[in-house]
Amino acid sequence: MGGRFRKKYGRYWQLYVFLILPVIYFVIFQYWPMFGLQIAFKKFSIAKGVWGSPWVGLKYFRKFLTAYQFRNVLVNTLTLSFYSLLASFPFPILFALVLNVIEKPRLKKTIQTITYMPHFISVVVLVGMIMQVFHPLIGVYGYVMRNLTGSMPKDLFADPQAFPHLYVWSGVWQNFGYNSIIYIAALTSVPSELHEAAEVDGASRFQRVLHIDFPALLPTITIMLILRMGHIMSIGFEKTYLMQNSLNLSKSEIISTFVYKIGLGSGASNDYSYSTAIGMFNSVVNLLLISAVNWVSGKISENSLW
Amino acid sequence: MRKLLCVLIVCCLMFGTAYAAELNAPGTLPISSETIHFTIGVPNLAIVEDWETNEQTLKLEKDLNVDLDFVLLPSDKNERIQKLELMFMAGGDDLPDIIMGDNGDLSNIIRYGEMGMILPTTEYYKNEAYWTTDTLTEGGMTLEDELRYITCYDGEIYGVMQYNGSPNNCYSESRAMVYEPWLKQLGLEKPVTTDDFADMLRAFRDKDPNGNGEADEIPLMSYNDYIQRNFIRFLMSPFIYTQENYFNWNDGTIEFVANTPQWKEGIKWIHSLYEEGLILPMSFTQDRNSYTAILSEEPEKVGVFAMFSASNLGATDARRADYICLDPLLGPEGVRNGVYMPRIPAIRMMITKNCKEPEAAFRLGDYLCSQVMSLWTRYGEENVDWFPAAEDASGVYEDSFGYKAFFTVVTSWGVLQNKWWGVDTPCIILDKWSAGQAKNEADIYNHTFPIGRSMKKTVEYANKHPITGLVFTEEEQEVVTEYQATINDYVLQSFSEFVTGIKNVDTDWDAYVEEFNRMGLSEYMGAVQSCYDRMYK
Repeated sequence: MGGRFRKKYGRYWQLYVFLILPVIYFVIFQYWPMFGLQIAFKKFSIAKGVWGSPWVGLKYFRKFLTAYQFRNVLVNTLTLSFYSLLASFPFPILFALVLNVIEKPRLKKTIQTITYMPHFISVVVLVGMIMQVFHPLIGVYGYVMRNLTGSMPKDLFADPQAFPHLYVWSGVWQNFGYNSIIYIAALTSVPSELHEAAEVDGASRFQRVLHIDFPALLPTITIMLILRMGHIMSIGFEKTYLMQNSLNLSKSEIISTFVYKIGLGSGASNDYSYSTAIGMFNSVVNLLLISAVNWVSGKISENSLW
Repeated sequence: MRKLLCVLIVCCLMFGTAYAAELNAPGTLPISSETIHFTIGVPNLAIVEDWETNEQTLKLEKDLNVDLDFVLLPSDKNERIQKLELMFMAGGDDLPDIIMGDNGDLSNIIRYGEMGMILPTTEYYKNEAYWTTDTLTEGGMTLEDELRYITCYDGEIYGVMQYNGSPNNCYSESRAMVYEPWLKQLGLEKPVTTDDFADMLRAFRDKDPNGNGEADEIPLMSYNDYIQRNFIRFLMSPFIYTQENYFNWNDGTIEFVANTPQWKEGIKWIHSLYEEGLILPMSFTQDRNSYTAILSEEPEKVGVFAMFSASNLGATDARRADYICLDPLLGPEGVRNGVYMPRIPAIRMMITKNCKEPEAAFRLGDYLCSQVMSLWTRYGEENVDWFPAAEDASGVYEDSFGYKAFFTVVTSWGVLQNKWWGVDTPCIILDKWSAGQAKNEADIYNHTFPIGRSMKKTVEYANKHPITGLVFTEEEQEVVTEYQATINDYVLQSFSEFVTGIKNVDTDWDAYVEEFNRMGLSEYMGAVQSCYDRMYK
């Protein structure tokens, strides 16, 4: 028994020792708190604590699923998430591929720095910027449209249909530079001999990108996609909340803003059970999605997360 | 023999320290001849430099013969409440003797009391609230009235109160302000009826009061957060009383106003204003920054805005002092009212189970509510930070409320200092102090002066039955939580859609009203009514 153990772990025991600390971290901060998830099924009151609170079964899940707003809120959350994913996924990849082709290192670095600066703008500042730029009276959009058409342009923030586009594309602008870093890094591992050999064989620049760079990126792309799917239900609260107003509410109310209003709207004490139930609902959906995508990816290509 | 004597002496000493400290009668200083020690948990306020050496702390220690140590809690309210609740759930052994600050409303506090983490002060308030009673009497209030708002539904009071009177703010919820120079230039008086108001807006739009030859004036505007506040309240009040949560008191019954025929009439009128181009369409969507940008433009563009003050304008913008309050408008059916939200007391100090001298702790809280300490904690020391007003000085709010000038404040509020504690701890700031600033003619950028002189009619017509201070039981709270946010959102969304013409008031009204029934309006109002009956009938 001891002999097999030593054989398996003995050779690289230093590496296993390295692992102990992160494993402890995960156990304490990620797995141990999971026992608190049970309050989603209990009527939690601080006075009684976690163990003393009575079981209520699926009451809070039912409350959430039959809430008046539920269907609208769920549809909005999923729409924004998938739209966001589809729109923002290709750009970092394309940008990395294009940037990789640039020879001059100075130019390359400058472009890179400029494109990933917007990532560091806080959400509040970003929304403030969007609202000012698109203001029909005092914004750039208003000024340009008034000169082109001669009359006051439509207020984009009053239009529910415009909301998903404003939300998604401002996010793309903000994040494509930063998100391309991992792809740029992956591309540096492509051996230059491949490119030279292809050039000798007469491949055009575009063909080289298509047949060498792109396949080199595929493993990274797959992993990133799977991880992104895991965040589908947790679309950002702050940005949506700041961009909401009474006229675009039909498209801008998502699960997290809805829960926020329920929890704080009546100035009441925190309903921990209800918010835990909703959080759990989100996590379960995310887990199902990420498992599905992982399985599909494993079948189609050879890349999968587990 | 010697041994027996020793044992006797030791026993006497032990019994001596087992008794609580002997307290002097309520109202005498110090509290006791022995120095009593307290640890106090306080929010880490940005304006207080060092609680231990703060002059207010030193004065308290000297006056009361106490020794105070402080434990700093997070300054953000939600963080602080979370931290306290974690300490409670862990058993509460490391709680300080006293906790001060805004730590939630009565529905939170009663739970802490039920857990046994904080002690009731009901008994102490019966006989020992000397300083509190003194201050309240000075302000024309009674202890019995004010205690009602801090008594939980089990009949106990779980802490020490704070009352922060601020009469100006009580009347600010349905306020709209107009640019006075334009009125003077066009020879107009403040509008009385809804028709007068519409005429005034048309005059702003057509007669070019800013004199630049372009029709760029904006008669009426607001911004997204304030549509559901001042904008909807000011414009709807000539038709039906509109306050927070859209409740109306009708002879003991609480009604919901957003599905009534009067509401429909109001929407029709506001929609007609919108159609004529008298309301800036972006009011519904723009944020505060855009609003401020438009307000600050040269030359001035905005005639009327629906906000509680002109404080958005830059501190050196002289136009701040040129916006005056509009009076509540008289509606076509003779309705004329505005919102008056009275300030009510709240709990700002709790005595925890770890406190060995709870009665003395109460005396400390009570002394903080004395006239001297209440003034000190907000305005500072007499004749150092503020000076009593001269006999002939006129008060800022004298025209509107009738409050005479009480003092002139010299030291600024809101900066980092080490003189006072601020208003997160117990105190009683009487209305007549807070509204008792003497007018300083040299201060031309002060935006409170024009408010102070133009509020007379607002005060006169304010609604006498505001619905506030409802403390729900756990069952009622569940119902309210479920419906209130959805219903209020729907009212606001529909209001915006009707006014901007996305929905049609005539054809879509019935569907709108029907929707409330599907949302559970009757259950919601039932819970509200039962709470009101329990508390005020």
